[in-house]
Amino acid sequence: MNIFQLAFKHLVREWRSGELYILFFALVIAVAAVSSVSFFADRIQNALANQANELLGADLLLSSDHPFEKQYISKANELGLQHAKQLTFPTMVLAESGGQLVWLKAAESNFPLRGNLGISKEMFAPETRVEYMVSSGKIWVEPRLLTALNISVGDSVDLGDKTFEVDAILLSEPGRGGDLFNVAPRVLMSYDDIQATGLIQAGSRVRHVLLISGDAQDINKYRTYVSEQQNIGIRMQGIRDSRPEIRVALSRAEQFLGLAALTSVILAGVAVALAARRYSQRHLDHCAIMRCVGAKQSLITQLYTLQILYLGLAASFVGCIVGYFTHELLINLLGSFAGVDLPSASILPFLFGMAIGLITLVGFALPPILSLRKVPALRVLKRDLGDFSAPKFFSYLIGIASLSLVMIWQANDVKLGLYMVLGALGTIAILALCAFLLLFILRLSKQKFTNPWWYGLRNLLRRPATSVVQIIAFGLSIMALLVLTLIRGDLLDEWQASIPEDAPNRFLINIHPGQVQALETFFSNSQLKAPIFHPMIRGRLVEINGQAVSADSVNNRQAKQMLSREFNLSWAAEMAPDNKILQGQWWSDQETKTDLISIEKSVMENLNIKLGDSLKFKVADLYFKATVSSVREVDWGSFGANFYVIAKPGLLDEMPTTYMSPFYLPPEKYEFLNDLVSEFANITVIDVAAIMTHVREIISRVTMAVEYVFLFTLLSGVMVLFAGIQATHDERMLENAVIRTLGGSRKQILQSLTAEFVSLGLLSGLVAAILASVVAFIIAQYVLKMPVQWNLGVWSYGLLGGAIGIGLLGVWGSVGVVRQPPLQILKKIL
Amino acid sequence: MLSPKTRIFGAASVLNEQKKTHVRSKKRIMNEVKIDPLLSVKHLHKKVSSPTGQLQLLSDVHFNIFPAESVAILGPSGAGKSTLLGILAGLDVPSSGEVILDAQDIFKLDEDGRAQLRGRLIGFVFQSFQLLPSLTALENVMLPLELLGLEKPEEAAKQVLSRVGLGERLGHYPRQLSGGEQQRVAIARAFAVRPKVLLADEPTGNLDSATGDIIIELLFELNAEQQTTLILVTHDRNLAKRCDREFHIDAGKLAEMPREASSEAL
Repeated sequence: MNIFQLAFKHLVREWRSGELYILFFALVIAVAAVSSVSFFADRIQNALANQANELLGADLLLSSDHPFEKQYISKANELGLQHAKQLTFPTMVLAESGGQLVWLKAAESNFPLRGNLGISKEMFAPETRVEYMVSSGKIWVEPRLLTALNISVGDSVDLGDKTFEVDAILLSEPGRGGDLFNVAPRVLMSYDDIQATGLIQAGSRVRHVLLISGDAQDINKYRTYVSEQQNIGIRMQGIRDSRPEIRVALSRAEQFLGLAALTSVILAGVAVALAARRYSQRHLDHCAIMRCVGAKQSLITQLYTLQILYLGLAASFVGCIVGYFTHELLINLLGSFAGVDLPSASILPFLFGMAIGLITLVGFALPPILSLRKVPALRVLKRDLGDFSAPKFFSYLIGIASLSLVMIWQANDVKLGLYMVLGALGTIAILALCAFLLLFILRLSKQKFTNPWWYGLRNLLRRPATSVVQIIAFGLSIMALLVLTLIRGDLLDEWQASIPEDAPNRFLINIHPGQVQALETFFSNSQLKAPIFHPMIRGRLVEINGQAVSADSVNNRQAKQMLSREFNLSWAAEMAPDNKILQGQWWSDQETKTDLISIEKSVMENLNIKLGDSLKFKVADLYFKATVSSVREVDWGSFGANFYVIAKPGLLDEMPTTYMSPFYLPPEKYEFLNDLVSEFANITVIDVAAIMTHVREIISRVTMAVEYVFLFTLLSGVMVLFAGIQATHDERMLENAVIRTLGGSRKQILQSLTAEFVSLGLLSGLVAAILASVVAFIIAQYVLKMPVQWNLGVWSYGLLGGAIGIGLLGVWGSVGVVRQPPLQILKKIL
Repeated sequence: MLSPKTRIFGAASVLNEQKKTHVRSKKRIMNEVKIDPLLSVKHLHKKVSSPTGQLQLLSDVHFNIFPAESVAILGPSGAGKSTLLGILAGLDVPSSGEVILDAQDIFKLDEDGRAQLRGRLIGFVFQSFQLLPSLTALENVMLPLELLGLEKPEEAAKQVLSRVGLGERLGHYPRQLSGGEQQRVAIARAFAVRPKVLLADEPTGNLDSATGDIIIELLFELNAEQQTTLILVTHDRNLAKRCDREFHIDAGKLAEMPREASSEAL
C-alpha cells in the first residue's frame, strides 16, 4: 500500500469515527458561503453590467473619425457578436419657418443593440418604449427641434437633398448618456437614407460609431483584438468608461458584495483553525502510538498532509456544490432580475471556492496538525510531557499571507483588500488585548463571586490562553455579525440616500450670462426653487509648465483623450460639498494671487501634473495661464455639476462663458419644460432621469442581494461559535464528570456552565461592540466614503446577543455531561 | 462449544507443561553454547532536573537479555521501572550508557531511526492499553502493519485477533470492549508484527485478577509460540516468578534476583 492509499484509508477511518465532522463542516460552510457569494456576485455583476449597457445601447462602443475598416466587422462576425453601424454629425434641418443646427444620428435598423428607444407622438406625452428603429424616409426628432422650427409631428423637413417626414418625438435614446453637453437637438434617421441626403462629402466631420454586443467573454476578446490593432483613432467605450454615476454604483455594488464574502473568508479561517486545534489535541495519543510502533516523523507529516489535502478537496468540492445551489435559490428568491436574463455562471467562482477551501485548510489546519509530528513516543508512558499540538504563531503566517492574497483578489481592489487584511489582523490583536485585560479585571474581582457561578468563572481564568482564543474567535464572529446586521443597514440606507429623492434630474445648459437673472425669476414664478447656476467654459489644455502638450505627446490612453477634447472649466468661490481636497488648499477670501486653479484627481494622475505647475488653456481664440493650487476628489456618483478644472473667481472673466444648472423637476411639473423652452429658445434641457432610475435600480437590487448574502456570513459566524465551544468541550466534560462523581448536582453543573459561557459571551460581546463601531467607522469613512452614523444597537445587541447566543450554544453543546452517566464520559475521554 | 476464556485456559495448561521443558532446555543450551544477548544494557544512568535539584532515576543499570528469554522487572512505584522500559524501547534517552538491541546501539540512531527499529523489533503492551479510540479493534491491530508497509495487513491482523479470541469483535471500537478485551487487542497489536522483543508495562495493572490471569497466559503463550523475548514490568511477584529471570529495581538501582530455586519450582 503506498502512502496515498494509506492516507486515504486513515482518512476514511477518521471520518467514520466522527473525528473530522467539525473540521469538514466548518470548511463546507465556509466554502459554500464564499462560493455562493462569488457565484451570485459573478452573475449579478454581469447582469448589472448588462442592464447598465442599455444606457450605452451596446456592450461596447467603438468610435472613430474615419469609417471602420472591414476587419472590425469581420472580427465581430467571427466572434458571433452583434453589431450596428451609426454615423453622427452636425447638420442643418430646413423647414418652412427656417433652419436649425441639429446633431444627426443615422443608425442601422438593429439599433440599439441593448435597451429601447423611447418616443411619443405628441409634445410632452408619456413616453412609449419601442423595439424598432425609425423607418426609411422618416425621422425622429428631439422635442426642442419642434419648438425651434415651429413644426409638429407629421410635418416634413429637408436634410440635405432628401425630404423626411417627422414621424415621432425622440424622448430617450441609448447611447445618448455619454455625451450630455451637446447643444444641438438630435435627429435620428435610418442608416440607409444617408446616401440619399448627400450630406457626407469628403472632409465632412463625421463621427463613425460601431456598436457591439454579445457574450461577455467574446466582448472581452473583441476588446483585446481592437487594442491590439493599436489604432489610436479608435476610441473604445464600455459602460464603465462612459458614465461615472453608473461606474460608481457598480463598483460600490461589488465592494458591498465583496465585503460580505471577505467576512465569510475570515470567519472560515477562524472556524477551521479552532476545529483543527481540537482535532490535533485529540490526536496526540494517535501520533505517540504511531511513533511507538515505528512511524518516522516524515511519515506522520506525509500522512497528515495528504489527509488534510483529501479532506480539503472533498470539503471544498461539496462546499462549491452547496454554494452553487444556494445561489440558485437566492436568485429565485430575488425573482427575475428586472427582466434581464442572468448570464450563466462562469467557472471562476468554483475555482475561487476551491482555492479558498484549500488555502484556509492548509493555512489554518495544517500548522496545528503538523505540529503533531513532534509528539514524543514517550507519551505512551508519560502523559505529562506538554501540549505538542499548539503551533507557534508564525506557523500561521503562510496561512495569513495566502488568505490575504485571496482577499485582495476577491476584493478586486488592492486598497480595500489590504484594509480588510490589516483590519482583521489589527482586530485580532486588539481583541486579544481586550480579552487579557478583561480576564485580568475578572481575576482582581474574583472574591465577589459565590459558588457555583464562581466555579464557572474560575474556569475561564484557569485556562487563560484558551479563554483568550475563545474570546478572540467569538468576538470576531460577533463583530462581523454586528457590522453586517446593524451597520450594513445604515450603510445601505446611506448609499440609497446618496441619491436623494430631489437629486437633480434635469440639466439646463447653454444659458447666456444675461439669462441667469431671468431664469431665477422664471423658476420662482413657477413655484420651483431656483437652482444654482454654474459658469461653464470649454477649453483645451495646451501647455504644462511652458511645454506644449497634445494627444500625440502622451502615451497613456486616458491622457490622450483628455488632451484631444475640451475640458469643462468653471470658477467658484466655495468648493462644492461633494468635492474633497486631496492636496493643496482651496482659495480663501484673503488669497491675493488671482491665477489659481483646482484640478480633479484623474487630471493630475493621467497628465502627471503636480501642485504649483503652470497650465495654459485655449478657450476659443483666447488663452489663459494658471497655477495648480489644489487637487480635488469629486464624487461623480452625486449627479451634481462637477468640473475637472475650477478657477478662482476673476481669472476667467474675459473668457466666453455660458452657464449650466442641474435641477430637480418633480414629475408632475413637466409642463414647466414646455414653458421654459418657449421662453428661452436657446437653452437646452437634458434629461438624466433615466440614468438615475438605472442607478437607483442597481442600488436597490444590490441592497437586496447583500441582505441575502449576509445569511451565509451569519452561518459562518455560528460555525465559529460552535467550533469555539467545541475547543474546550472535552476538558469541560471531564471536569464536570469528575464533579458529578464527587457529588456535584446537575443544577450546580448547569449553573457553572451557564456562568462560564454567559461570561464568555459578555466579554466577547463587549470587545465585539467596541470594535464593530470602530470598523464601521473606518469602512464608512475611508472605504465606502459615506458619512458615519453611530448605532447604539451595536452595544446592546453585542452584549445581549453574545451572552444569550454563546450561553445557549455553549450550555446546549455541553449538556451531555448532565445527561450521560459520569463513568461513561470518563471512559470515553480517558 | 467452549467460550474463548475456557479455550485459552485449556490451551494454557498444555502450554505450561511445554514451557517448563522449554525453559530447562533453554538454560542448558545457554550454558553449553555461547549465545549473543539480544538486548544488552551497559552502565545506564538517567538523571533529571527537579525543583529540589538533580534526581537520579537510574543508576548504573547493567544487564543482558538473551533471545526468547522472559524477564520480569519488579519494584515499588517511582523506583524507575517505567523509565527503564522507556529507555529500553528508545522512547526516552539516557543521561549516559548504552542499549544494544539486536547488535545495534539504539542511541547512536536518531529519533526516526529508533522509531523504525521499534517498528521492526519491538512490541508494546501498556497498562492503559493505549488503543486509538477512533479505530476499530481490527484497525488498531492493522496500524503497525500498515506503517511498516506490509502486504495484506488486514489478513494478518484478523489472524492474530482470532488468536487472542476476538475474531468476532473485529469491528468494535475500544469503547465497546471490556478492559480485558481491550488489552487483548493491544496484545494482538503487539504480536502482529512478530517482534523480537515484547515490552509490557504493568499489563494487568488495570484489570481484575481473573482477567489479568487470562491476559498473562495469553502473553506467555504468544511468547512461546513466536519465540519472543518478553520484558515485563510489574508489581506482581507471582507474575514475576513465571519469568525466566527476575530483576528488582529500587531507587534506580537494578539487581537480578537469584532464581535457581524458583526456576526449578516452575
